Amino acid sequence: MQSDPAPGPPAHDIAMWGAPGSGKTTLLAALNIALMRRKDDWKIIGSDAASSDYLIERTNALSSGRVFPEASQSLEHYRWTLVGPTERHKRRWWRRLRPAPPLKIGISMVDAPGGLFSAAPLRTGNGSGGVDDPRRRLMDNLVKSRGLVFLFDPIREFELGDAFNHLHPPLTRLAEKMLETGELRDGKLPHHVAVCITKFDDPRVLETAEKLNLLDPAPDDEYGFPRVSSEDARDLFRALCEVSASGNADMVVNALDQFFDRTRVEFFVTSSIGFFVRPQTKTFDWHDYQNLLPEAGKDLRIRGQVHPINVVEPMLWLGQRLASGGSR
Amino acid sequence: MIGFEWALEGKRPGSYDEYGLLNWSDGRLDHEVFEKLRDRYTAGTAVDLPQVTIGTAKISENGEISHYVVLAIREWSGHHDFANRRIAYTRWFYVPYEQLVDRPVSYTALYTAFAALPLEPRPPLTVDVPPYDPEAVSPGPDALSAAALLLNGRPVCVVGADAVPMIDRLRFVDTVAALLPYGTRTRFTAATWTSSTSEHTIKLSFARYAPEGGQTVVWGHAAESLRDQTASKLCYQFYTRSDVPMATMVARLARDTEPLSIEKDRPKVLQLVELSGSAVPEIEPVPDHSPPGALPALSAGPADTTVAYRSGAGNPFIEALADALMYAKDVRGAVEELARTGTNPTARQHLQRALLQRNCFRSVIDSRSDASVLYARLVDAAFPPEDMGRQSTQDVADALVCSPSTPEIVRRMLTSLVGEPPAERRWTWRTLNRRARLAVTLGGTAVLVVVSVVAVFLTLGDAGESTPETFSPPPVAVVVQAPADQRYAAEAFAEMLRRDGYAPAVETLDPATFTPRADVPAVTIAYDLDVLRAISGGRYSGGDVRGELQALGLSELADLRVTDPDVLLVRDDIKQPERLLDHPAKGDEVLIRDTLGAEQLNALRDRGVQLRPESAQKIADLLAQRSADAAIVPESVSAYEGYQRLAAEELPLPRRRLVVLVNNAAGDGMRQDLLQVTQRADLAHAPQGDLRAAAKTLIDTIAPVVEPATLEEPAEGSRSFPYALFFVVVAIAFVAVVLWMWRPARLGGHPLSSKPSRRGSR
Repeated sequence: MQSDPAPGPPAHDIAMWGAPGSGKTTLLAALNIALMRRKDDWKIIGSDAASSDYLIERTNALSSGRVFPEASQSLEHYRWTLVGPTERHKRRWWRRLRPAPPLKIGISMVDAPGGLFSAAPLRTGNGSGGVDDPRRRLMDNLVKSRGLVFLFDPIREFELGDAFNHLHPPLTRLAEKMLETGELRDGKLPHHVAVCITKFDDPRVLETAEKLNLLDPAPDDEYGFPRVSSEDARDLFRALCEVSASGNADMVVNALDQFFDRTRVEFFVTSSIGFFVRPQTKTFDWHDYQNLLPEAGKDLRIRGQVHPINVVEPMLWLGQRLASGGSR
Repeated sequence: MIGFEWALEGKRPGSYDEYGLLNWSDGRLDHEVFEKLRDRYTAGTAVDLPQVTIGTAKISENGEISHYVVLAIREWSGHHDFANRRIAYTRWFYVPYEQLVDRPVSYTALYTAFAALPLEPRPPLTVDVPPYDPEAVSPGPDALSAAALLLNGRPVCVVGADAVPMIDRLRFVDTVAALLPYGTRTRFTAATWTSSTSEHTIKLSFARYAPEGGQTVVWGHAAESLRDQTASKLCYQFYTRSDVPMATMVARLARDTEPLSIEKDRPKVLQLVELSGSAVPEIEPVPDHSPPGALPALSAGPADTTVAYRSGAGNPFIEALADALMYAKDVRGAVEELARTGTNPTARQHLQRALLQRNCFRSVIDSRSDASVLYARLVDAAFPPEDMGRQSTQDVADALVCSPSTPEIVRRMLTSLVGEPPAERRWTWRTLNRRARLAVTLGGTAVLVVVSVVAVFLTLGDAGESTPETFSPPPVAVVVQAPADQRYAAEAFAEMLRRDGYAPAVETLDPATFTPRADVPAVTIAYDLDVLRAISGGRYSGGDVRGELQALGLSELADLRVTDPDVLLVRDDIKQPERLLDHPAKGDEVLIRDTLGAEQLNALRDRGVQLRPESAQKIADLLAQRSADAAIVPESVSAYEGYQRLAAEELPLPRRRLVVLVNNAAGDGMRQDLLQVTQRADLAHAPQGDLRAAAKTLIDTIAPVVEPATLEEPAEGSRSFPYALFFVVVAIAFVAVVLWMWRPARLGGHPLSSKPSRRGSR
């Protein structure tokens, strides 16, 4: 929490939400690369020096060093500004052609260790006002935020099946807090939720999407990467929930529907590192697309260039929704 | 030997879980206590380990409070979790403070002793820690500043020490702690590293950027904010004007073992610091809480009355009266008696200090209905207006104002005394009488006319030429340095900065003689290996050298995603050049720049290459003279006559990364401008032709020039509208109306005369 943030647009609070290892920090680390790989003019700029540093260091680590960030051990706050393309007004006879200022969306992002979303109770007053309890601080941030990025890790769900355990307890507490303060709208939480199904680059996820005929290659994608549209992402989500190790994943969908207005929830199928492409062909190859090959006993290393998929889209969707006052 | 308890925080190898406690000692402290402390002292997600955090714990057991000193050592475990991420272990150690009272130790000594223990120590849980050595404490201006600033109660963050080894940062923490009474270690919290994007409650920390609301100390420098912070200023003065050597001061402070809070017991901490630097033997400054005995005789000797404030020993008579007041039945009478002692400046100094030490006697006065009267009497007696010019009086007044223990009414009274000069009558428009106002109106109008006439002459003389820049501040000069082959990038940055109001000058950077600029804001575009040993490191890096960058006053802003591989040059007349790689004979040396990291050099040597590191300049000279057999040089400077490139695909040659560095003088606005260019422009491929024009075209796509709305495009050959002339005409018309309305006959005398107006006498 560094001082003297640069003056800019009002910041909209967005919180990352997900189980340990679901990819919250990696998604943030890939954000800058994802923006730079886009053809439009959206970019992300730190609103203070520490947040800028994070962008620079994570971008370098992921693109040059090809290493993943370490597991978060405390609540980290980043203040960024998403700056959109400059629009040009039509020329009128009485005034000169002048570009309109670019759209700027301030976001104040909270990245918490996934364990804080587990079912452990909040600590009751010990005279310190709860400042020592990171769960309480996380809850305060969730109450303050109006945008949530919920990460659903299908691999962890398949192997462990605890997504519901990391969604429901804090969600119930959040609803309780919002009820107390009278901020429920029609019985629902006022947040916009971007549900990100992560690790799309994993063969198990990609092949599930293919079997369900949900893949939809974007025509303007120069690499020909397969994608799942937002409309189909909910179907993929349900399909992945069916193979949950605990069998509780269907309750994740139900909990989201119960607590949030459906028009405020959008699904995205994402991959922070994307698929591997050979530098010579620069084309997605169904026979060789894994960008992360396991190396026993070593840090995970990314095999080739990082091509994030649907990493920017949830942020822009949330940013634009919040900047426009939340109306659909 | 010192006893301790411990806990181990981490994850099991391959675990899906979050960080948590893995094991702990079976002592007085239970699992919940460890969990709470773990949450309280989390300093963020660290990458460079080990790091040390110092905290405290207060345990209440059967109504008895025990203080603990907590030391946490975070280090890599060598294990990985389910997502193959490295697992860090945090080893928590808890030492009962009571064990450290008679046997003071430093945090560094504790760290050294605990770090040598196994991960899960077995009984007996004791370590041998060398005793405290006051002679080893040698504070610099940064440590003195940090210790003094801690008295303000806000966190202190040391910046600019990223490259300083952890153990030196821990020693710094030790030095700061040594400058405070030893008893404050029951509340003292510190960390050798904290994340700048994480919230924490640690009072003394190291970070790249200071947290919001924190006080910054730059490593190696005194803090500027000391000037504004009164309690800190006072404390700093006690350190720097001490009558005794620092070791004596530290040794005395180490004997003040009563548990104290730096924030809540600030007056007492200040007093102990002052006493520790005093030439006279220290006395116990805390008033005895038992009722005082008989007062000493009023006729204290002359030595008593001339004791300087800094001597630390109070006037016995005033001290006794002050103590008596704490238990007096007739509080009003006791206040009056104490107030009457302020008959001379020296006595008043003692009185001031009595107020500071005893929180203005609020424990006996606050609850009374006449509290405001009693406080006013004491303040009037201790801080008469004639003393407010004295520095010592102002310092004590400031300390009282800053102290949260000072009653609000006293604080207000002192603020008005300290903050405002002797009251002067404020001149406002309404305070002037009518004639004066009229005179001011007419005078102002006349001045306006004169200025306007001058303006119109100037305007007519320079018709058509705009002169606004004459009145605007000069643009900030910025230097943009780049090697000759990166002129396009340099021009692009310069153009961007120019559009944002800077005055950039592009300089060609010679990697061989690169010296960072510190005098002006500077941007340096350079291949990392040329200016430093492998910032990024190509494949074989020299490690993280951000510290070296900071030592040079630089920081890396961006990576331009341009790499420049090195090539192996061999002189044309060398026979069988492959032998340099396959079977080098004695003397078959290959020159290579001496700025490369050891890892890179070793990688080449492992392939059998005989390397001779030399400076870039010397290699360039030898190649130009054709006196070098072979050399590894950057491709961008490999065009030497008489040399050929040797294909060596298998050779791990260095790769340079083009980076943008900025110096500390570069502000945030400038950095944002540069980042816009780096993020949106492809600077890897310079166009042909005029690079400056090409750079302008590039920047047009990023930051188009927007002309001010008032400057409509004039018709060809037209002249600007004579605004000044128009203004003069309006001004003259205004003056004419004013004169017509207030004819001189209405003035009736001197405008500033205090006599009543003769209005109505006409």
